[in-house]
Amino acid sequence: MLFYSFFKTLVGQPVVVELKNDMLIQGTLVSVDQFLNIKLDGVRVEDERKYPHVASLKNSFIRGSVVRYVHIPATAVDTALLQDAARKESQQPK
Amino acid sequence: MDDLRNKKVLLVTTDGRVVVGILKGFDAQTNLILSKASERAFSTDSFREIPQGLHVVRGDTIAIIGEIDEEKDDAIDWPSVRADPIPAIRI
Repeated sequence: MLFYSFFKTLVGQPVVVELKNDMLIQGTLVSVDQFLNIKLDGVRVEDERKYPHVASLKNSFIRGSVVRYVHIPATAVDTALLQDAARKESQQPK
Repeated sequence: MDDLRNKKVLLVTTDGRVVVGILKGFDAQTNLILSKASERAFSTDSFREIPQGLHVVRGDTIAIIGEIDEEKDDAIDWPSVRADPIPAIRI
């Protein structure tokens, strides 16, 4: 649930989602769910010449299982806080 | 995905296929029901639109689903588009 909560703090930010098929999708984060599925508005694929297939998309729902990375603006994150929360989470007995 | 119900959507599958259709239903696993589905098959020498009718798509084969901007979509002359197929998802 940690990363789900983390992504919730990023709603409204511009992000670039890198998929496991190497596609890069830019957009504004609208929502995230417990599976880390991502909804983006105003999507644009990075290499529009290579991927005309998705030129007519205005928004997208990206399945969490196909995401490799979510590139976020460095200023959007308090890395010390995140590191701290992650450490605490890993220490929880599960 | 509630806002996509009954909208014309474009789907990219994990094997790199592109399908358009009207989203009639879905569930938490993103299994989908698409009506008037049609596959857009891209290649460097051709483009084909293959009608598929009513389709159930299993959730774990889905990469991206999005609402189609019909104005943008109609403005593109799809039969003249040439591109490599989208690569498959690799773990």
